[in-house]
Amino acid sequence: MLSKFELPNKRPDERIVLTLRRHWFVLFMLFVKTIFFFLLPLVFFIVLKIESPDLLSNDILKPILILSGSLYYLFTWMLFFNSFVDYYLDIWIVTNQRIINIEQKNLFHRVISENNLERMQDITSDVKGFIPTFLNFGNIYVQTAGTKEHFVFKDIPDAHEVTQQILKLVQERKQQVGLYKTPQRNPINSDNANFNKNTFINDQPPRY
Amino acid sequence: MSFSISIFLYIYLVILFVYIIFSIFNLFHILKYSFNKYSAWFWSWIYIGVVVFILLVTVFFAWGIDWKKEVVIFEGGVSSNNYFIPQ
Repeated sequence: MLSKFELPNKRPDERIVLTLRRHWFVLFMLFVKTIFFFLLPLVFFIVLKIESPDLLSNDILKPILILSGSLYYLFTWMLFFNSFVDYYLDIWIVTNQRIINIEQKNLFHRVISENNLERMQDITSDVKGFIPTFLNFGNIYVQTAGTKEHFVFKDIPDAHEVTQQILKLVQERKQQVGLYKTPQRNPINSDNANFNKNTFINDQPPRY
Repeated sequence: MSFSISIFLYIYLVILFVYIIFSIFNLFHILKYSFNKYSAWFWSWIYIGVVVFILLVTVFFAWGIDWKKEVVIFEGGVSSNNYFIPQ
């Protein structure tokens, strides 16, 4: 069993920076849907009792209604729990060295992928729709180098801020492994007033 | 044509058996893959609790039903009697 404080295949000097789950609104909508489906047979029962009370005391219909009602509630509850497990087990972990993407697609489909931060190229946040804008959550797309596949962090709270944090971590990691150098000003395009345009690097004019 | 209404009960029990198997898979997943085992056990007990509650309510409502009753279906409609005696 995984522990909250133990990463799978933990590397030396690795520390968890972000542990991301979906926004609470996703879970809230799941609750609303489940409550709706739980109340639906009760409304049906009340209407049936008002409209035709004799039907409920029928020798055949009564056991059918009770047993089918029981199965309906059991399966509604199981579907809710299934969706909850899907929500609960989807987790995205950002450490100072890599990104781990753990997704429970369905009951028998689990995807775990990871990639090093220095391989990250393009990170995009996407907040789309009225409620995501209002509650500030959205998707984050992380494109990795060399592959067409990319990570999708779904319904992450404060997606823009998280994107900035990941970008910062990627830059730090690239500096650590020597893939990223601080950009230097090009003297030719500089707006420095003291720069003499006739002076070229190594005293040579640029070759085009 | 006649049949005993206990056939509904048998069908229910078969579906319930399948349901319990799927529930075990669900619980297995949450307990195995959760990052926080205490939280996973908490949610598992909530799930089991609600399932037991639904089953108890079902038993409560189904208590008065005579499952051994034979139901006779006529061409013109549905009728029932109590003469069925189990062998």
